[in-house]
Amino acid sequence: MIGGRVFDVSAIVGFTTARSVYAEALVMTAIEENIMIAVPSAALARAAALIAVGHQLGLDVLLGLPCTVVDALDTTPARTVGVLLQQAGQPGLDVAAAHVVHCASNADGRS
Amino acid sequence: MSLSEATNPVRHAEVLVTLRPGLIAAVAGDLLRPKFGRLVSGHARRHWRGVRLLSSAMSSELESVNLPTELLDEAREAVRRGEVDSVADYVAEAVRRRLTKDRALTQVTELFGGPPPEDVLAMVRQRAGLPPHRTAS
Repeated sequence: MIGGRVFDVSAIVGFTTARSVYAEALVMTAIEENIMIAVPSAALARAAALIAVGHQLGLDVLLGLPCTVVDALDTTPARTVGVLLQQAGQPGLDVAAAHVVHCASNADGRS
Repeated sequence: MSLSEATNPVRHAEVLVTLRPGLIAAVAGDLLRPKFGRLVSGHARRHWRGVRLLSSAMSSELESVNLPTELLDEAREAVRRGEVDSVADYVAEAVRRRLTKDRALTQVTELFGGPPPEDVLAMVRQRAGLPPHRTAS
């Protein structure tokens, strides 16, 4: 994954519930300028748990955009995220946040 | 090649391209109508079909599009490089990408009930190191 922007939980929730005009502007700019939006799967899971019933359409829109890529937390990144948490001295910290950091460092992007 | 052109003094060329009906319908719709030229007449359509324009007549239709000459030159260069089979394919791909992008923008705008404020858009673009947004003329 090279370049682009990484969406954390608050950005996913803010866009999906249409409460964040910043997230809207970010997504519209990404579409217009062909900038990739990375959605870490761990953050997606957390956001999906927080999004109230009735906002599923927003999630469908985000995940269906031509510029959206979901970053899967499969074997290798899962181990890397675990090491990241361990190195931070906070093994109990939110996995979703650590996955966002991992994606951002890989993408050289900004969350 | 499914192409005919007539360069005019303002360096625009008229291009006849074959597009799938779905693309024609989308282009002729409200979304992109102001940006594309007229549909060619039935006479011209028959003429060009006779020439060989509609080699896949059941899946394509004829459309007349005015393009700046420099864009057409670049499309031809892409054909010469072997990146696409024809200028028509090049135009069809460009239209397809534009439609995908416009549909996504429409979905986002509908989700939020309107576009974001200009100052927020400007801030996002500035933070991303992009030039200011082009305003509609």
